[in-house]
Amino acid sequence: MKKKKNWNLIIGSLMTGCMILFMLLGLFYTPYDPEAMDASSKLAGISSAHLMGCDNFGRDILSRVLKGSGTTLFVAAGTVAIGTLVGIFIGALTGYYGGILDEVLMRIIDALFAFPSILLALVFISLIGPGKYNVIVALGIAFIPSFSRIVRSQFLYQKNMDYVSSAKLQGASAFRIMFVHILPNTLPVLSSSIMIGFNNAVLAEAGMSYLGIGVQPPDASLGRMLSEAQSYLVTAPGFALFPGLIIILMVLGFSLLAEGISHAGD
Amino acid sequence: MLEIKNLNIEFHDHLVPETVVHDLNLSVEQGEIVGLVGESGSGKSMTALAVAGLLRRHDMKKTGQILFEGQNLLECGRSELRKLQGSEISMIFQEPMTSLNPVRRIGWQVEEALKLHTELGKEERRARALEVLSQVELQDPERVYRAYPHELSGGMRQRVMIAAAIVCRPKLLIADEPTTALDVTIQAQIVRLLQKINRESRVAVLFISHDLSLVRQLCSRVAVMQNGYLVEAGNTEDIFRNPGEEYTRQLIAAIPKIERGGKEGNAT
Amino acid sequence: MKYAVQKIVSFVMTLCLVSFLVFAAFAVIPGDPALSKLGTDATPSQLAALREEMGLNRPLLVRFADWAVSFVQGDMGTSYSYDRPVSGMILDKLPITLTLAVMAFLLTIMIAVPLGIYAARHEGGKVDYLIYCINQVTMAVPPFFLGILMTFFFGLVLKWFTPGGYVSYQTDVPGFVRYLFFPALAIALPKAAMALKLLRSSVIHETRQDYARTAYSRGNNTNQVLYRHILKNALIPVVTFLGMALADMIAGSIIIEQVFSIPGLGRILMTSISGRDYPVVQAIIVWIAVLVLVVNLIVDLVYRIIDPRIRME
Repeated sequence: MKKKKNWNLIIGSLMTGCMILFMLLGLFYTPYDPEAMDASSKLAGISSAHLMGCDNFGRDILSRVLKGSGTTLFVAAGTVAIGTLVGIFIGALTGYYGGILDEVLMRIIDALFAFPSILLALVFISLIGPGKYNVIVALGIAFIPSFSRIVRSQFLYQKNMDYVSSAKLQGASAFRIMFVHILPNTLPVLSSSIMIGFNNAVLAEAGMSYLGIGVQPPDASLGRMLSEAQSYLVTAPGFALFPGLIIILMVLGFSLLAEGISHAGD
Repeated sequence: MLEIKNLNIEFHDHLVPETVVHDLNLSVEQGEIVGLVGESGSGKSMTALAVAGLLRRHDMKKTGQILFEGQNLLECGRSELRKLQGSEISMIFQEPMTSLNPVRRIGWQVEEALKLHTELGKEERRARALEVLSQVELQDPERVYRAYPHELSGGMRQRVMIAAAIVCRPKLLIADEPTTALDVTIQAQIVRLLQKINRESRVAVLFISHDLSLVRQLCSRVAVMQNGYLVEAGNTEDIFRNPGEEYTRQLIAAIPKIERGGKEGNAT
Repeated sequence: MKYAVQKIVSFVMTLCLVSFLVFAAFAVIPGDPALSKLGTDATPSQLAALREEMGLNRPLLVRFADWAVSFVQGDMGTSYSYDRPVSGMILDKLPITLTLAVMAFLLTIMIAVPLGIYAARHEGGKVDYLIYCINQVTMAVPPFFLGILMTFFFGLVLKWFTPGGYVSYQTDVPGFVRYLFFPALAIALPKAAMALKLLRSSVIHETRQDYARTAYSRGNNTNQVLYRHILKNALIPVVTFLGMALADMIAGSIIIEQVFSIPGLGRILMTSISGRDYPVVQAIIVWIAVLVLVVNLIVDLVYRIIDPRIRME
């Protein structure tokens, strides 16, 4: 049988690979100091000296985009890590044990789940203040309900499988059954929601930084650059365009990759 | 009435074309019940779908003739075919659980063929629908009329399928393994029901099954298929008493002896 | 009837739970509201007096009950920063955000449903592929960046609207709606892309179901099978998605309001968050919670209308 090429997987991995290289590069090398202001090249256009031009303070946009995408990746990874770990914990306990604990926790989770996660994050930010780490905490907490629900439904489904009963018969502890036996079996479902969650985290971080309540200076952030760039759309369109494009490429590459992987699994 | 001549069905969805029906000849006369038997993959269901006009895919080739009252179904246009479907030729399927639309009421689904093929008004359609619902021996047709598929059991749903199929008084009813998904006791009821409907409304039935004991109960003539070929055809009793082919003999030998007693198969 | 009662009880319970969580979070974490109101140079006796006056010495649950009762009566507290009643600050902004979200929702449906059906019917065709590609990119664009692109392209280049030229609904309703069109579109496009994708695959999935074959066997043509049989089934998962999308859109409008300088709830929410004006933040969050829960209730209702299997439970 003729097998169709999995273009999603190919293009997705290429794009994601490039973006990761781009971000890694940003950790070690930027053409200029991302914070160095230069009044003479204020809002300068694209040139061989400044491949993406300069912003309203004369800072090199390429350097800032390199740094900013690193920040975005860091925040997104942290967010997903918190959301997944706590989500797994809550989902595993409620799904495996059920009962009153499940009732109470899921009631709260459901109520929070109905809430758009960006709004939850806003509530937390308003309580703990903005900043890179606070954004991670706020978004991470906001992501807990959806991860908990996914893990819980998987645990509910898996806990009645034969392999669980046989593990019980062998005297495995509840902890061991939950995290050594059941958890690996939830990975196919969990990994795809992690990838979707990662994209949502990138978009949410960008949105919050755009609003001015996300990553704070001196940390460079793509969302914040966009909000600064908005006043200079006519004079320096590249100022807004490049950070935006980087966000799109990041999310697009990752979602293509996720889709490619799920097709490859079929 | 129905005459299949030299029917070939070929699939082109893989690299190598695959022929699922070879050079099949079969006829069904007005009002008779003909059985088409064979194991899964023998091409019997493909034949049934082709006769019902449901094999209109681009990745396949059909040659030969399917003559229904002289009209070649393989050559007539789509709209002409649709005029026959549901009014002259109708079909019931193996899976009563999934063959009905889950979000439409039973009455709506039973009446649909009337809506498509007749000029009957709303009340007349309803009256006819209730009439066929009681003809298929459903208790409380009024309630069933208003019900949704998920409120009915598998056997009831298959009765509804039959009701919807005969609502326009078709000349040919194609039944593709109509009892396979049902309990043994329900199977017998459905077979008796098909017999009764065949008697009452003189509808010819093409009964597709892998279950020879059911075929023997129901059909006057039988055709046996294997790997896309017709291996044997003729009067049912003749074939059962005196099978001409080794394959037929094996199929008959495979019928459990105690089947008629209904002792097995109740586990489901 | 029993169902309606059950739904209303659960609605009220969830609302109480959410507002309590919000209330508790704001009561516990930010420290002393009396201190933040008076500033750090207040004397201890002033603080104690204000605490007494604000009722901060009473148990949390009592304070919550108090707050909830006055909230229902329309008294949502007083803004720290403006010293004005919160209700006056937000009630006339509510229609702006709501209109924006509803317009975005309608645009989503208007884009997703026809295109989704078209793509499904022409599965594997050139247009289907084109839609797929555009869809993938659209889903990756943050709505606020889409808003910036629209401001640039439609506002500054084509001059179809004046960026920042918001028209109040109190003076000119058509102008108000016209100004909200592009912001609504910016919110709608990514959601429409997702809804389209879901509807397409749902229609394709349903087309392969047995009941579709039954419908063909009765003499339905492709259009009749699609519109009489498949569509209602295919919409079931889409309705769930749209419900969640609408809730997201209410939240998403907060960001888009910033992009297009619309003085809606989002604007006040942002200033109150940066100003730590908790009564305002709290009231807005609870209001959004009410909107979200109402949306959920409506989705539930629509669900029951199209899927008879739910009605039985």
